[in-house]
Amino acid sequence: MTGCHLPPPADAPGNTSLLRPRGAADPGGSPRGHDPAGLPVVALVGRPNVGKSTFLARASGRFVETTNAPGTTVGREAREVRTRAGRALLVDLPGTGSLADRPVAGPPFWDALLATVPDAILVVADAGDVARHLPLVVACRDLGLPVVVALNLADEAAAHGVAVDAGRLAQLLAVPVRPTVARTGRGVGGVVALAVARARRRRGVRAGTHSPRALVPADRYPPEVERALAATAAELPTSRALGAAARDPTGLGGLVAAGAISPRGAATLLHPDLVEPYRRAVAARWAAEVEALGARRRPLADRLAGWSVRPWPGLVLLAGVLALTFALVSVVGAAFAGVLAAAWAALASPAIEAAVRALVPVPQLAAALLWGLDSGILGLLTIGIPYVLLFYLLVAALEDSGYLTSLAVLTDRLLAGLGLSGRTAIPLLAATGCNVPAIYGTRVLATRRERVLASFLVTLVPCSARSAVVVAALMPFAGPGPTAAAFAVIVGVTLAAGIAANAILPGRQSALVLELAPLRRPLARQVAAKAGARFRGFLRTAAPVMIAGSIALGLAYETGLVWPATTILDPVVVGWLGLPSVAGLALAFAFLRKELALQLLLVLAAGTAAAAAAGGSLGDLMTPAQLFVYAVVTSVSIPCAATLAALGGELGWRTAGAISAATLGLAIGIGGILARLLGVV
Amino acid sequence: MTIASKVTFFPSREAIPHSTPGARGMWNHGVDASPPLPLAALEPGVAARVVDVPPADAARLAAEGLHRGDAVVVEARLPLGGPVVVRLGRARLALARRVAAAILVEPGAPA
Repeated sequence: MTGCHLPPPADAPGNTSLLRPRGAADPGGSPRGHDPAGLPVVALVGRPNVGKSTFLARASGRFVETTNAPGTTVGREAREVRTRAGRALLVDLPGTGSLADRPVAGPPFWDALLATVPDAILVVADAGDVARHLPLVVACRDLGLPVVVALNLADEAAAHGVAVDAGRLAQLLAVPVRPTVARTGRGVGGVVALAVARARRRRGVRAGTHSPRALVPADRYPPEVERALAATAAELPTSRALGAAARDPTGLGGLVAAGAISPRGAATLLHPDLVEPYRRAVAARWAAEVEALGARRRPLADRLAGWSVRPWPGLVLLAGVLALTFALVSVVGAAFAGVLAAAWAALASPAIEAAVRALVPVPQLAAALLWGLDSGILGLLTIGIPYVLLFYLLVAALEDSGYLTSLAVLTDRLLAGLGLSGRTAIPLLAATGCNVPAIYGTRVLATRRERVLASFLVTLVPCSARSAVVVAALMPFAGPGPTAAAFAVIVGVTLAAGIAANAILPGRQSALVLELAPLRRPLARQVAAKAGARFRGFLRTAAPVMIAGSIALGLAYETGLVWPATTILDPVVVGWLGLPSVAGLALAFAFLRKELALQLLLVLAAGTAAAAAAGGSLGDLMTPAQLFVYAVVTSVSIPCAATLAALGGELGWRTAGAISAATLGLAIGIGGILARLLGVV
Repeated sequence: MTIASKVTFFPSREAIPHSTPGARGMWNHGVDASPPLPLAALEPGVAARVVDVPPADAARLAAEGLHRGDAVVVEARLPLGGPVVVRLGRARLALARRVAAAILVEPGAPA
């Protein structure tokens, strides 16, 4: 099985498919306008939480992250499937309530759907809630494309005492309907084969051997609606010549001319408000006809889901889940990081050092390279594997269990004070592991304002590396009390900054509207695949920055170029913060490697006159009060280079710069105040 | 030409909860309904019928499946002005308090 990633939907308005003639070949290499001799395309459509990603995994035999879920890339994926009806390309699309939905103010869902040039649509619906899922089926069928329905979650429906007459529903819809259980794979192969068979026949239609009408009968709306649809269909520009795009801003005219959808189908897309009420009404009527409801006790998962959003026992449950998450990450993660560091020092480090020294004749250059290839990769491993990967596994399990939506409900009120909705709880929780994935996680938020606010808070939340610095600086030399106090100061600064940023940024918070996922036992394979895919994304961003940053740091240190910087920083570091001169350098270079803030301090101190006095211990270099100031300033100031790269990529460099400047100002401000309160200055 | 193209499956316009104000007669039919109140004020466990959705939120709510005419039950209300959890058919929806406050419902309508 080979899969290929389609380019994600374009964000820039000038680049959206809305402005491009559809019939023309796509220069970006997407399957739009692809070779008609290629594999038939089956698009996978369904509402959120219907188990569509599990369905795709079962259909293609591969568990891979596909959904538009917290912390993931928002894109589409195509996978080749082999069925008894032949081979086809199965294209996954994000969950949607209707074809007209606009995820995060982008183009409507149908734009993404038709961009895949489907030959057939496979709608995954919930067997336990037919009335809610049928309007989407009717909408897909209106397009004039072959439609096949998978009534998924048949097992959950049975547990709720809901029995659906799939045969009767198929008669009413005039499309094949099959019950499936994606968790176990039951029925999935059969329904995919049906869809592939119809997609292949559709290829025949597009080749001109069949009429589309012969394949897909379309139900009739009331006469006045049909008249409006017919009038719109007649007005569609059908020319595929140059300049047609100007008269065809939606691109639907070109699609109709290319035979991709029927004229009436295009008209239904242009009039969603006209047809949607009828679709809902007919869905309710048909659901009542095909459903048999048995009297069953509510399953335990349902009752748990109910409790999880009530103040009692929901808040207690939430506290338990959060405590367990932190305990797992801090205890298991830290132990794992220790083992990895020891293994690296014993096995990899000597080999790398010998190889680099043998290959690079200039000792300073070799030393600088070792900063990157030895300590840089070690840093990546000891942060990445124990903290980030472990956290991704936990989040994926929570996400697949459906609990994260309950978390959003419970934390919504608290976050509203910071101008955020409950959805932000997930990235903020992720930030305690590593800020980089948390910044990607803000993609699920509704508005740009919310994303900027959330990203700002994320950069202030101490990640595992910065928490480690605070603990290592204060625990041995100041004790547990000051350590806890430092964290309290950091949390207080974060909350105050969040409240201030909410007041300063123009606009208003978007209110929470969220469908709650039912609670389910997560599938281990799916959780592992999801976490693995996200971890690879983390490595792609963080690895180059961390390794290159370490080499740059090494070069600056080995060549002695760091020292002139001291005089520039002294007024702030010595005068305002009351720290030794060398701490300024460590603070500045911690930008490249936050977790090295303490080691850097010792390494740099060894190169100065203070070395003799310091004796290689932090406790000799700084007083506990100075260490307190240093730990807080390190944690609050400018995010690390990898986080800055993620910020710049997600929000643009101006916003990334503004966030960094705000954190730096905040760090220097609070550092100076602390220095005065603690009597350092 | 197929059989299906000759048949109208869809109900007549009168059977549709239409989006024009005041067209809620069908749902009041034969029911001794109480006056409309905000969804946020509905007591948990009480069945009600949505009679008005503010236009500003209508599209977002429709995407999550909440329309005028739908039967709803409040499942939970979070304290201190937190969100309201609403059962909508077999689905559950969490709505910020100010969204729920703008939705008008008629309690006592049968589900």
